[in-house]
Amino acid sequence: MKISNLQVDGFGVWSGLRLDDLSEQMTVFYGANEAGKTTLMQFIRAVLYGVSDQRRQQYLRATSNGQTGGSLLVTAADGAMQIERHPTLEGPHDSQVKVTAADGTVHNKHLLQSALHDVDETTFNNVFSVGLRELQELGTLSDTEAAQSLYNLTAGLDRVSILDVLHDLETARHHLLADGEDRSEISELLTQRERLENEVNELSELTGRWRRLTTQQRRLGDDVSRIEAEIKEFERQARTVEVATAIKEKWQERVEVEKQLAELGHAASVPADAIDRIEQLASRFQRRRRQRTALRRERRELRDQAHALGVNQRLWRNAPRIEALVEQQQWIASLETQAAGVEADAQSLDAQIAQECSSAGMVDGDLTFASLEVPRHVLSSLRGPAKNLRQVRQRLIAARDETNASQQTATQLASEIQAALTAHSQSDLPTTLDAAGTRVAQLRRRVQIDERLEQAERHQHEIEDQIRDLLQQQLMPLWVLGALGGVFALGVALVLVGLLMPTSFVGTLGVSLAVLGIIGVGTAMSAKFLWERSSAKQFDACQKQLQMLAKQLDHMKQERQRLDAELPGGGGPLTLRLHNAEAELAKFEELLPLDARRQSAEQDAVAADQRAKLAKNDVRMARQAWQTALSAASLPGNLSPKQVRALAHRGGTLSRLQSQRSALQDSARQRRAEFAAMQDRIGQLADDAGMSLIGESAADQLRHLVRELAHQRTAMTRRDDLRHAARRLKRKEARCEREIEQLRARRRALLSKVGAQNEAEFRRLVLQATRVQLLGRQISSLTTEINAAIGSDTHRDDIEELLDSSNIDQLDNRWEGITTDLTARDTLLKKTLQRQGALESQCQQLTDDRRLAEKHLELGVVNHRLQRAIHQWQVLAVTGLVLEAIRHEYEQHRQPETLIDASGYLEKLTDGRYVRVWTPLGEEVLFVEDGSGQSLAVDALSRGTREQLFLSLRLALVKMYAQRGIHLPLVLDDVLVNFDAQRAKAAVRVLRDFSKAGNQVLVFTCHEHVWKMFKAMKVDARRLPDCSKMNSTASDTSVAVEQPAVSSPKKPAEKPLPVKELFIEESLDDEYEDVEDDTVEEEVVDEVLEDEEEAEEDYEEKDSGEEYEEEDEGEEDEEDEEYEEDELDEDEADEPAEAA
Amino acid sequence: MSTWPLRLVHASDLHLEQPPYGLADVPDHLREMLLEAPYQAARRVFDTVVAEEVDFLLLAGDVVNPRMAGPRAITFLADQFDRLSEAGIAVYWAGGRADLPQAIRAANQWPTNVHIFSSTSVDEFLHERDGQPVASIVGRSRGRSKKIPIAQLRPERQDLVPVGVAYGSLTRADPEQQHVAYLAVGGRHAHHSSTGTSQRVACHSGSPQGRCPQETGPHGCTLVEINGTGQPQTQFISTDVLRWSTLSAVVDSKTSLEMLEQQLTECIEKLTAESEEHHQFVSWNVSGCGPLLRSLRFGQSSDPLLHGLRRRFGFQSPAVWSVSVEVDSSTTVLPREWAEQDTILGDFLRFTEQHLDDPQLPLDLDSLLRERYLAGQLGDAIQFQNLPMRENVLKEAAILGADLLGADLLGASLQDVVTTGAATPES
Repeated sequence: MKISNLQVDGFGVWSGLRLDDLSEQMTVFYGANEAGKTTLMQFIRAVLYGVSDQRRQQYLRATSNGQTGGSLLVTAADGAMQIERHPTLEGPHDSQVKVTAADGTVHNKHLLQSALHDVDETTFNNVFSVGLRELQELGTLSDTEAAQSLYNLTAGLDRVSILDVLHDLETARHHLLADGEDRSEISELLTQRERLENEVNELSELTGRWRRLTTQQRRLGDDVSRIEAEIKEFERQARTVEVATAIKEKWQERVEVEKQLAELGHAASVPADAIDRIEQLASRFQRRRRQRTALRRERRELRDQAHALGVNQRLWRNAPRIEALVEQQQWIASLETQAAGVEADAQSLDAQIAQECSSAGMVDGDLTFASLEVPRHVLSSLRGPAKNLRQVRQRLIAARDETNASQQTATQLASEIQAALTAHSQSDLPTTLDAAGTRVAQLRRRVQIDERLEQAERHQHEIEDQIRDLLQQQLMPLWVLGALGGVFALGVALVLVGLLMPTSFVGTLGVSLAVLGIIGVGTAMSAKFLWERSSAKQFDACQKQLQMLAKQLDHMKQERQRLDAELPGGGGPLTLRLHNAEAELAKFEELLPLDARRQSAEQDAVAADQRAKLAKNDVRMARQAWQTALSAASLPGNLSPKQVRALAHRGGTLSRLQSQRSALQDSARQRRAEFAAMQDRIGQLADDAGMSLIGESAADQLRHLVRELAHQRTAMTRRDDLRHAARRLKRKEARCEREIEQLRARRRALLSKVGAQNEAEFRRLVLQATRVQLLGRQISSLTTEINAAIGSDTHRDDIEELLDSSNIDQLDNRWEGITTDLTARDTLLKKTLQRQGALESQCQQLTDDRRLAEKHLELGVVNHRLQRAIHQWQVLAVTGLVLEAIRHEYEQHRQPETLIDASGYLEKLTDGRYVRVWTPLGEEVLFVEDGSGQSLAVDALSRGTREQLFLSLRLALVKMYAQRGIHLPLVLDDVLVNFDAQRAKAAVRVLRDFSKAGNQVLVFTCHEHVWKMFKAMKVDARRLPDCSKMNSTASDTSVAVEQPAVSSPKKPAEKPLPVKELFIEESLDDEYEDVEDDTVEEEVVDEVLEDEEEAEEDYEEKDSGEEYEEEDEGEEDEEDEEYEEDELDEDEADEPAEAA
Repeated sequence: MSTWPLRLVHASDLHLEQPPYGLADVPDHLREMLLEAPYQAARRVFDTVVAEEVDFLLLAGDVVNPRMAGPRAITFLADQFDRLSEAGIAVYWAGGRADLPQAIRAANQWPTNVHIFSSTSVDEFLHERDGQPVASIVGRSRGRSKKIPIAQLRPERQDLVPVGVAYGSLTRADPEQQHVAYLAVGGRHAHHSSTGTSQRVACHSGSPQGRCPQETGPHGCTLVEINGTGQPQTQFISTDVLRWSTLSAVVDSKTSLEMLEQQLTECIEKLTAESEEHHQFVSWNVSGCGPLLRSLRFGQSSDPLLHGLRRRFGFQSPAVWSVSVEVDSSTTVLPREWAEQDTILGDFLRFTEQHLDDPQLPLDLDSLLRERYLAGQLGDAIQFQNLPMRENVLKEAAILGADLLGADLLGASLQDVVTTGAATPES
């Protein structure tokens, strides 16, 4: 069904309104607030579905022409038909519908219901005929069958609620294992198992206890054995003490005798005639000693005579060598003469060679090379290296000269620059230039800030003045207030007159006067309200600008303080300081050419130095080549080319002289060496003979040696005679000595036999031996008696220990101690045996304990139950997980077709910011997913986005109905009122495309820029007439409004112009009228929006200082700001659109 | 090698510390019997050793956990060893998982006829008869490696009868590689013997007493006789006191509870006739189809059935105690067309199949547990310990899900095709 004509006879503010030739696609109506847009939408609802009581109270009133309601001319599947409804002020709401078919037949409401496809009014009001209030309330959809299209995800073909199944599974799982503190089977089994495990662990400790008890039992057995052994030992000790007491007196007597014997010590065995034998030996010993002394004195005298002869043994041994030298005496004398002659010949040859060398240009030290001979081919081979060496040396000298020159130039320039910098107390030119440049920039910035500050402060004063003006303007001027008050008072008076004055006085004008009065009152109140609102908006804008300026001023002042802190103080006004700084910078910049020349000179010096280094390296290479050539020519490496040249000229003369001189020198050295060897031999001989040489010549020395040798030969003969006499005396003395030793040995043997050191001791020892023999016989007797008393049962060592001198007096005490210990051991043995019995009893109890096995048995039962419960839980859990995955799959990929369509519309409306609308399984709520995949609840969306979502849902629902064959017009009343420019643009495009898809759309808007957007897209766009003018005109003429767009039913002859025509006439001067091309129209819309965007950007630039503060605020603040921005955008968007 | 036979008894897994388990409840009148079963079975082993006048006893591990068994088990063993010592019978003991050599040495001062093998190296003991070595016994207690050191069990004395003892899992190739005539192995509760081509025998004697419903059939020790040629002959000797069985029954759509009870009664009477000495613990496994199966699956019929069987046969002597009645889910096949439907049930079954086909797909059970459970031992307990466990749970979950999602409304009756043990409490 599509509406083609609409006629309002009387409904709300409208009477006699006709809207003809409505587009089958889209028609947009513009009207200001209170212009009757919502009344028209309600009119369409009322004609199609009747007038409810509420609608009757609100929109039906007595009109001047007495008619209410109106008609719609629609085109449905059954053809064109006119639907009329003229409700009365009182009566049923659907009793007055009249459906007239194209053929003129009148039908009842069934044809209307058929045209409406049985869509109920609630659905129509929330899906097809939507005002801003219906749009903002998604919950109203729940009362319609349309909601099922949005939330039908729960119901599957299975007719089983997956949520119920999940709930059942969760309940069953919780029965097995509760999440909270509730009791459940598994948790109770776990508790039981834990308790049993603890008990098992505790009982397991019994094994350790049993092991400890058995260990203690074993240890007690060891203790019993040890105590029994100790008792045996004590009994043995008691017997020993008893025996010791019995033999105590004889033991002491034996000890006494032994003591005496010990005091006597050891007695040796002594012969009977020992005293006589020692006296005879002493007499013979004295006699032999006197004879030996006489012989020793006589032999000493002979030895002294032999020493007095003075024999030189060393000279005597070297006698043959002296005699051999005497035979060579003549030859030695001739050697010295020959050597002197040869040396004189060699000296004469040296003089000749020196003369030759000096004539060849050699210095004295080069005589070594005098014998060298340089052939011609060698000379030709050396010529090339020599020439190369000479050339590179010249190059080296030239490079060094250049280096010195460049360095001097650089030094000179550097000193000039340094002098200039020193004059300004600076040291480094680049640093100085940077500092000067920075200072100039800072000073320039500082001057600029002052200028900007001055401008900003001036601007601030202007805005403050403007604010003051606005404050004054908020208080309405008296003349305006008076005029409005007059209008208001007049209106009130007219109303009172119209209502209260008798008819006889005012006649038929009573109602008109009342209406006029109401209009006057409304106009006065509206004007006052608009005046105050405009002033408030301007005041807020000025306040914002003032705040922004204050922030800019603060920012500039902070920068000025920072620059003042960075700049040095003093120096006069800023402009003077800037001038001085620029002049100083210019002076420093003049030094830059000098510095460049200095750097060039330094670079030249470096380059020359590099060349010198290269030349030096070449010289070294050339010298090596020269030395290599000399080596190849078998010449010494230290020869210079000049020397080689001289050698080549002199040839072999020097070589021959040199060889003769060498031969003479060799001969002279040989003679000298032979003579020196002979002298050495004579000297060596004298040293060996222990003599000092007398005389300088070798012959004299040799004669002296011969003389000394003759004297020595005589002394040797006398000494031999004396030696023979001494030997005879020595043999006699030896015989006497042997006899003395024999006597001494016999005496020593006799003393040692007794053990005495001397004769007196010998006599004393003989007496002691006799006494010892007597005591020994007494001890033997006592020992025999003691052994008989000890017997064989008692250890002898123990007896000896007890009868030891230190212990013998303690025998009685010892006896008492042993008997006491014996008694104590008996007692201990009894106690240990009792304890052993107790331990055996405890071990037996532990062995008989079967609690551990019982706990194991119970634990096995609990574990089995737990295992079975966990298995059941696993089955339930896996089932639940799989169903949850399916639920997720449904929510992700099996959303209702209507929500998929809504997602597409929402994505277009939000330029891709939000891409998906979805509903969870089993819940009647919606979520919106943004581009990043994050889902948001509807409540979390901003108001603008929320309304975009709701508009998308309505479009999707209309499409869904269309797919079912239900085509009804979509009426939107001011649903774009909260959209900003971008949103509005997107919405306009979406609605246009939606209408082009075959859906009739009627849009009412109070925003002219929105209306212009539609118009720019070649949509049927119309302005609604001013209903107040229509009514006032009507009241004046008692007929319908005479507006071009409105025709009065009372003047059929003058067919009123449709609103479309009216608009065409009114907008002849509108630039959109001339635009024919679609593309151009789109561009115009874009220009409108671009102007708005520029305005927004300007605003954002001005407001940039507040951006960060806004970002830090919470979501609610963001939403509020968004709303405020929307309003601001609307206000600002109006201006450029109008300007365009 | 000696020309006259060597006789020995091989026993293992006595587990004196472990009474029977796997029961959901323990009947009071059988409690004493259950507690004493491990000891009585072990005593029968030692009785066999004495009665058969063997040369020695081989214990191949898991004889007793000293800490968990308590003093009674240690004293029991010491008494039995003393008894063998008086009879001149030696004991060669290789420790297993429960009886580590260090622990059993520390537990008691065992008689001198008990020889314990080390867990770190292979020990060799020479067994003497009348002062002359007749057998070389090589062995090792369970070490870090679970494998039996077959190659290392090689006696140095080649002229004696070679016997080995170890703990672990026996592979098919072990008898071919062993160097001993008889290898006594512990660590497996079921008796199992394998003979190689060279007539060498490796044998798990099994536990003298079955411990749980899964350890069905007779249990005991092994009597071994090695003749002069070194060829062993083994003889299984039953020593168990109670015996576990798992019996199956099949039902169909016409089977009633009374008919099933009659069927089970006949099974019990047949079982009693076969073995009159042992107490019997029977687990019932029901398969097939029909409403009775669904009733059994949800416990509505299994409890009265169990009660009736226990009352009738559980209090006689020897007793036949019915442990449980389970529905066999291994034969469950869900109709293929269910999984092909474009319904939530179809999605559910396809999703389950994907997880069955791909074990790598995660099933995050932790997400359903609170953190306090995750941190405790329950967190590990709910995880799938192995792949078969996961598959089993997934299969049962598929059946449960099919039932909850109203599969019976889709034309085919769930009860007709599903037989599963998955319980759904109050569902």
